[in-house]
Amino acid sequence: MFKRNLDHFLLAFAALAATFSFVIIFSRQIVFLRDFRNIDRDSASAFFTAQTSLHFVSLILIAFLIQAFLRLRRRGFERQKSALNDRMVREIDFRETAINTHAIVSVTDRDGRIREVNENFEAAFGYTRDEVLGESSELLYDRRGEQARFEEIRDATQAGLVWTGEQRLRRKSGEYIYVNSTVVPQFDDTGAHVRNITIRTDVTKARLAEADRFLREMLEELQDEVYIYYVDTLQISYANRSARNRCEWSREELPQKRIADSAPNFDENAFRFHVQPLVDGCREIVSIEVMHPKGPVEISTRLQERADGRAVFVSVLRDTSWRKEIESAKVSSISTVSHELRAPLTSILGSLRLLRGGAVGQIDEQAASVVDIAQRNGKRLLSVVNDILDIEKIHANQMDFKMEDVELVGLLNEAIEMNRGYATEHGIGLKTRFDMDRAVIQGDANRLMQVLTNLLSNAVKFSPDAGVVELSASHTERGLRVSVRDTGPGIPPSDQKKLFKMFAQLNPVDGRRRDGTGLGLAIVKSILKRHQFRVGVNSKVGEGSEFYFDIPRDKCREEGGDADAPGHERVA
Amino acid sequence: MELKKILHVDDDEDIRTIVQIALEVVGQFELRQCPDGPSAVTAVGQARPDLVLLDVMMPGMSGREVWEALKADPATADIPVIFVTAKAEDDFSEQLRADGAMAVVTKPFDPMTLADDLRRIWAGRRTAEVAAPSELG
Repeated sequence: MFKRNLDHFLLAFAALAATFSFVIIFSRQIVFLRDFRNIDRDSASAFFTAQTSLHFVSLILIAFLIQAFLRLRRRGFERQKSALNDRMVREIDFRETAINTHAIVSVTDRDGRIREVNENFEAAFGYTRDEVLGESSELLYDRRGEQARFEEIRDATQAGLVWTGEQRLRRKSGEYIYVNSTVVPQFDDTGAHVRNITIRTDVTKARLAEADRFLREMLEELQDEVYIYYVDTLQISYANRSARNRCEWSREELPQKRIADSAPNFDENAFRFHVQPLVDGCREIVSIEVMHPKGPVEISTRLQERADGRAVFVSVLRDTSWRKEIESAKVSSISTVSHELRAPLTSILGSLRLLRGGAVGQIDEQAASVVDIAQRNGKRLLSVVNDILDIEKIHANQMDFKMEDVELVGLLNEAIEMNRGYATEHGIGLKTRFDMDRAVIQGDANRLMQVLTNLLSNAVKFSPDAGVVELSASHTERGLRVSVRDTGPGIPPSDQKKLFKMFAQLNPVDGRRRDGTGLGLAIVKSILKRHQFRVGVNSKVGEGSEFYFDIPRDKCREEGGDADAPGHERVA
Repeated sequence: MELKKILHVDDDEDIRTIVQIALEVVGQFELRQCPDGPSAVTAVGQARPDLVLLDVMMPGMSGREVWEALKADPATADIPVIFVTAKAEDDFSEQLRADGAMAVVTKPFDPMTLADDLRRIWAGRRTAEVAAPSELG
């Protein structure tokens, strides 16, 4: 400050002095010129000496003046330069702060090892600074999809190019993170690549929102009806256009609607029972075929978790009338085939029966045993034909089910009576245990008898000599359970999943093969599915098997008897 | 009235043979057989059987059409008919019974018990479907 003031003082002084000397010289010159004629030689010489001195002083002053001016100007430049530098530093600081606040920043060395990360990096990827420093940035890459991208970026930056693009990386938790990245290589004075600065912007939400929008647009155009609704409240979160049109809902009123509003006579208890396997995690999808006001439909339901963590059901309702027509045609042809198979079987079995019965003359013991083999296999073939027809009819929804009130205990006792002969033939005892006197259920008595006969005959077939098969009915939390328990060889867990499939080829653990079409349990399952009864099996190798079906509470009611009383047992 | 004369109609010759043995040899009935619908309608008018055992699926004139023809003629309208069918749909059998058929026998039937089954039906002791496959002995 002092130096600057001194410069100003000197400049002012030099300017004043120069002005003064010029004024003096100029005035003296005027006086001299006026008196020139009267002046002597010495005076003139003195005058010119003085004048020359004054000129010299003036020149020195002017030199001072110019120097001071130049100094001042130089200082002005320096001040301007310094101010500019300050502004630039502030600007860079500001920009760095802005980038650090907004973006995910990391610095890697030329080998791709992470040397610096900002706070956003820690927050976005879930790693702490200490966890990643020194690690290769490959750590962030999805090994399957993005490995080639890592190499592409490395090659570009080593060649001095800035790389920009979108990447799908992985967080520490394993979740994907979508980022827009710019990777800038830096070089030292010798031109060697020393490091990369990577600036990333998290675009995950935008990407997911885009995917969500795409999905919704797609769902909107589907012919099938789609409903998304909350597991706890069954309130609608979304319904596509087809669904809204049929239900006559507007988009705005969706949050006020529940899935129960989508169909008249919607049975919420039955629905909860139907989707329970999803809630329990036993199944990924459950389907049901129902008659809808618009015709036969199939409803498939899944359980999903939304991005906000709330669980929702996603139900797709598909019109199956066209499929029914195809299946109906298929059943018609199966009926024809069945007829064409039954007619010759009538002749074959009829002839064998007449032969064996002696209607066309007596045959010896050896011939009789051969006829028995033919008869046995003819009947087996007939069973297969009957079972295939049954199962196709069930699948095509062509089997009539006459749902009515059926007294369960009476039905079970009747099943025991019907199968007693078969059990006795195999030397097996039949036992019952019912926890109630009477229970009325909703079902088709004939079809349920078919189920019980299948389960009982299976149990008899697989029981050891002199074994006992128990038929029981008991209470459960959700209704009633009917069980058929045997003391057979049991079924390994791996085979239990295949049991209810058509023509399931299982290897009995005791190595003994039993007669059967391989369709009985598939029919059982199909019939029970139509009743909305759930079928299952509990079995351990060496400890026998229990096949059961559960009747939901809304499809049964108990009449008389004490639910808490010990069961009534009977041995047949 | 005791069941004596039966007319059996079936286009399948083998089945006719089996029924013949079942009803004539085992059952001791007086049996007449026809291979098609038109000849059956004529034969019923001539022979006046106590019972007609009628196959359902026959080429040309079906069992149901034969029955309609018999019912349309006052002379044969009251002759009882038992259908024999391999068409196992329950509702089809029920419809036949609902329309007045005495019974429906499902193929394959047991020829050793067929005569007894018919006698039981005739006696009114059994009107339901007989000879379910599981009963084949």
